[in-house]
Amino acid sequence: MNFSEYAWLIVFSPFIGFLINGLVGRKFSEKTIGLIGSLASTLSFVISVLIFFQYSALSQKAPIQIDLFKWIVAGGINVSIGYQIDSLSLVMVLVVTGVGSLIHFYSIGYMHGEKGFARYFAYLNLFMFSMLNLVLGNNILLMFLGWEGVGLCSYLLIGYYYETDYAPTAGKKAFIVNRIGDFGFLIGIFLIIQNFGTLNFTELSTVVAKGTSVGNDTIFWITLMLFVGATGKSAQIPLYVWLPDAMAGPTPVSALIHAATMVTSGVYMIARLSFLYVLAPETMAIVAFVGGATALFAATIGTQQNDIKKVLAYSTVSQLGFMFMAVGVGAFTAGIFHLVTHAFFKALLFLGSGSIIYALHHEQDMRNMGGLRKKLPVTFFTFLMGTLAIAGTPFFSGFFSKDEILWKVFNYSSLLFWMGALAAMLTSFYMFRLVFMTFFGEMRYHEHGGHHVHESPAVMTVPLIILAVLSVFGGFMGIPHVLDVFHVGNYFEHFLSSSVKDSLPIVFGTKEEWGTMSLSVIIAIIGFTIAYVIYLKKKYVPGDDSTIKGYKKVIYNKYYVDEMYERTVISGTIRISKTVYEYFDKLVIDGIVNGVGKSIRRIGEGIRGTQTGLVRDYMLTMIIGVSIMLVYVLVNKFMMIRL
Amino acid sequence: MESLIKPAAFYFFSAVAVVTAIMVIVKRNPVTSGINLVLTFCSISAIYVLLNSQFIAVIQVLVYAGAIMVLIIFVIMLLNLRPVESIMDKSTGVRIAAIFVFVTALGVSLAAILTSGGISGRSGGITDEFLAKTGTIQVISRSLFSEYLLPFELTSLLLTVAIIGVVILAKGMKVRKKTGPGSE
Amino acid sequence: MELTINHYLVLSAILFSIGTAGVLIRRTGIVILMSIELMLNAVNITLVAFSRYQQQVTGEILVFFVMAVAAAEAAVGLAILVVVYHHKKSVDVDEINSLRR
Repeated sequence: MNFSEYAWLIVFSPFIGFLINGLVGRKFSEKTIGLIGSLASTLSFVISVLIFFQYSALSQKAPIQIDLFKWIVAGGINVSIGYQIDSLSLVMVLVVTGVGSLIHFYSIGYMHGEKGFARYFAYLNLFMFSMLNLVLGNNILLMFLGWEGVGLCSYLLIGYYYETDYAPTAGKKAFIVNRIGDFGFLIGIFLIIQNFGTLNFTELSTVVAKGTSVGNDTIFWITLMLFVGATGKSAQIPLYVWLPDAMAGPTPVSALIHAATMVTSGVYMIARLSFLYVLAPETMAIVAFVGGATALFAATIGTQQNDIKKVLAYSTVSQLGFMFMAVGVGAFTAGIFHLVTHAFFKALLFLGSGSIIYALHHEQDMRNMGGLRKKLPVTFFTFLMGTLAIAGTPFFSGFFSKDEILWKVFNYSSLLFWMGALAAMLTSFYMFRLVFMTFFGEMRYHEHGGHHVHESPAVMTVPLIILAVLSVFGGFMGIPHVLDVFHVGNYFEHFLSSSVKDSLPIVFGTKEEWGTMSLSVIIAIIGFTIAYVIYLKKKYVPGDDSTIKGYKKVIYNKYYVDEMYERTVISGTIRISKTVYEYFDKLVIDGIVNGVGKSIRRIGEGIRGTQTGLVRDYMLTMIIGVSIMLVYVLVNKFMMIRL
Repeated sequence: MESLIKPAAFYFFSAVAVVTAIMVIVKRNPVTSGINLVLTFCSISAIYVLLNSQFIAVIQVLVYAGAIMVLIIFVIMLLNLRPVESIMDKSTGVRIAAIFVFVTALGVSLAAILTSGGISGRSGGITDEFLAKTGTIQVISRSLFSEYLLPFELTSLLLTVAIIGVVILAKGMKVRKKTGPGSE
Repeated sequence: MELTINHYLVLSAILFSIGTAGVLIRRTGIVILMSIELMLNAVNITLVAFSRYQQQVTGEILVFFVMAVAAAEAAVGLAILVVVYHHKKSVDVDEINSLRR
C-alpha cells in the first residue's frame, strides 16, 4: 500500500474539520467539537507518520509529486495545486501535525467553558490546513497561499477575545506588520516568475542546477525580497514587533502558531529555496547577521519582562534569530534541526505557562506568582525539562541543536559566534529567572474564596508530558559527530540530505568543536548562576512598573521600539493618508461619485415629467417612434432609387 | 359596363367607410359613434365582396357588426354614458401631437403605397375563376382544418381564456368583498 | 378603369390613420376601443387585398384569426371598462393614471 497517495488527506482532513466546526459546530457540545478538531489533526499526523516510515525506507529519496489539479494557467505560467513529499517537507509536516495535534487536545482542557469554543477549533483547523499547504505545496504560489492563510488564522486567533481592547489591536498589528513583509515576498515571487518562468520548486532547482543565465544581482534581489517576507512572518528585526503583542491570543494558540509552527515558516522557506540562496552570498550574510542581531536583541528584552508570556515571546524571537543565523551561514540542516527541537520545547513552555495561567485564573504577571512548584507538580516538572532544553543543558534537545548552530556559525564568523553565545547566556538567564520567579520562593498569588490553585486536568498534562519527553530526548536524532561514541551517525542530517544540503565549508577541526561545545555549556551555567543568585538566593522580585528605573526601564519598555515606530512610520503613514483623504478622496473621488449620482438624479427629475401615467401619452410616443422609423425606411428607399 | 360598376361600388363604399369612420371619432355621444362604426363595418364588408372574398364579408358582418358592436353598445347603455362636452383633450400639446401623428402616419403610409412597384412574389393559383367553381368557403376551410389546424384550435383556447377572464373581472370584485361564511 | 391593389391599400391607410387619431384624441374609453376595432379592420382590408391579389388564401385565414382576437379583446376590454367604471364612476382614461404611482 502506497501511503503517499493519501497525502492530500493530510492537508484536507483539517479542512473538513474546519468546515464541520465552522458551519455547524455551534450546535455541538464542547466534547464533540474538541474531538472533531483534534481527530482531524490527528488523522493528518497518522498519515504523515505512515508516509514517513515508507519514505525513509526508500533507498533513492526522490521527491514524490502529487498533482491534484491545475490552478492557474496563464501564458507561460502553469501553477498547479500539488504537493511535494521529500525529507524536508516530511520533517515539517511531522512537526506541524504532531505538535499541532497535542495542542488541539490540550485546547480541549484549556478552552473549557470559553465563549466561541467551536469558532476556536474551526480557526485552529483552518490554521492547520493553511500551514500544511505552506509546507507541502510544490510551488511558491501555493506556499504563499498557505503563508497568507496562516497569517489570516493568526490574526483571527490573536483577536479571539474580540471583546477586549487589546486583543483586536494586537491582531491588527500582527496582520499589518505581516502585510509589509508579504509585500516583499510577493515582489520576490514576481521576480522569480519574470526571470525563471516557473514557480515549481523542482523545476526551479533543475533550472538553477543546470546553470542559469539570470544575473547574480537579480538573484540577490529575489532572495532578499523573500527574506523580507520571512522577517515579517518569522518576527525578525525590524518586523518582530507584532509577535510579543500576539500573546493576546489564547495560550495554546501562542504555543502552536507563535512558537512552534507558523513563525518558523520563514526558516522553512529559506531551507526550501536553499538552492537559490547559496547563489546569493550577500543575502546569506544579511540573513545571518539579522538573525544574530535579533537573537541577541530579543534576549536582552526577555531578561526584564514580567509577563510570563512576554518572556516566552521574546525568547521565541530570539530562538528564531538562532535559526536564521544557521540558515544564513549555510547550515540549513542545523537551522531545521533547531526548528524541530524548538517546536518541542517552546510548545512545551507555552503550554506549561498556559497551565499556570489556567490554574491562576488568567494571572500572567510573574510578580504575582511564585511557589507554584508544589501546587502544580506536573506542570513544574515538565516546565523544568523545557527550560533545561532551551538553556542548552547537555544531552537535552536544545543542547544538540543550539550547539550545532554555534559550531557552524563559528566556522563562518567569530563575531557572529560571540553574538550567539551571548544570546545563549541570556537565554539561560531569563529562562531560569522565569522558573525561579514562578515556581520557587513564596506564593504571591492570593487565592480568592472558593478558587484554589490546583493541577490542570489530564487532557492538558498528558500533552505536556509527551512534549517533555520529546524535549529531553528529541536531540538524539541529530548527534554531532564528536559525541557520536556509538557511531550511529547524525540521522537527522542524513535524512534531510536528500532535499537540503549544507553549503558551509567546515574549516575548523574536532578540537575547536569541543571548544565551542564546552563554551556553550559554561555559558549556560553562567546564565543559570546569575539567575540563581538574584532570584533564588536574594529572592528579588521586581517592583511595580513605576519603580523600574535606569537601563532596566529602557529594556523593560523594549528599547522603545514600538514608540519609535509609532512616531515615525505609523504617524507618518497616518499623516499622508489624512492629506490624501482631504485632497484626493474628498475632492476628486467623492466629487466624481457624487457628481455621477447628482447628474443622474437631475436627468431623472427632468425625464420624470414625461411619465404621466396616461396610457395614451405612452401610445403617442410609440406612434411617433414608429412614424420616425417609417420615414427613415422611406427616405432610405428613395436614396436607393436615386442612386 | 361591368368594368364601371366595380370601381363605382368601390368608391361609394370607401367613401361611406371613411366618412362614418370620421364620425366615429368626432361624435360626442358614444352611441352615435357606435352606430357609425356599424356602418363602417358594413361598408368594409361590401369591400370584401368586391375583393371576391364572400366568406370574410359574411363573418365581418356577423362578428363585428353583429357580436362586437352589439356588445359595445350594450355596455354603453349599461353604463349610461352621457355625451361628453368636448371630444378633444384639454391640453393643446396633445392636440397638436395627435394631428401631427395623424398627418405623418397617413402621409408616410400613402407615400409607401404609392411609390411601391406593385406586388411581387409567388402567385398561389387561387384565381377568381377557380373560386367561382369551388367557392371560397371550401378553399378556406380546407386550408384552415389541415395546414392551420393548430392555430385554429389555439383560437378556441384563447376565446375560453377570454371568457374566463371576463367572468373573473366582472364578478371577482364582488366575490372578494364577501369573505364571510356562507358566501360561495 | 381597373381596380388595383393600391386602391385597397390607400383605403386601409386612411381608415388606420383615422383609428389612430381616434385613440389619441378621445378620452372616453369605449370610443378608444371602437377606434382600435377600426384599426384592426383597416389591417384586415390589407390582408384580404394582398391575399386576393396574390391568389392565395393565407391572408384570409389570418383575418379569421384577427377577428377571433378582436372578439376576445373587445370582451376583455369592455369588462375592464365596466370594472373601472365601478371604481371611478367614469370611463375617462385621463382619470385612470394609477401607472404613475
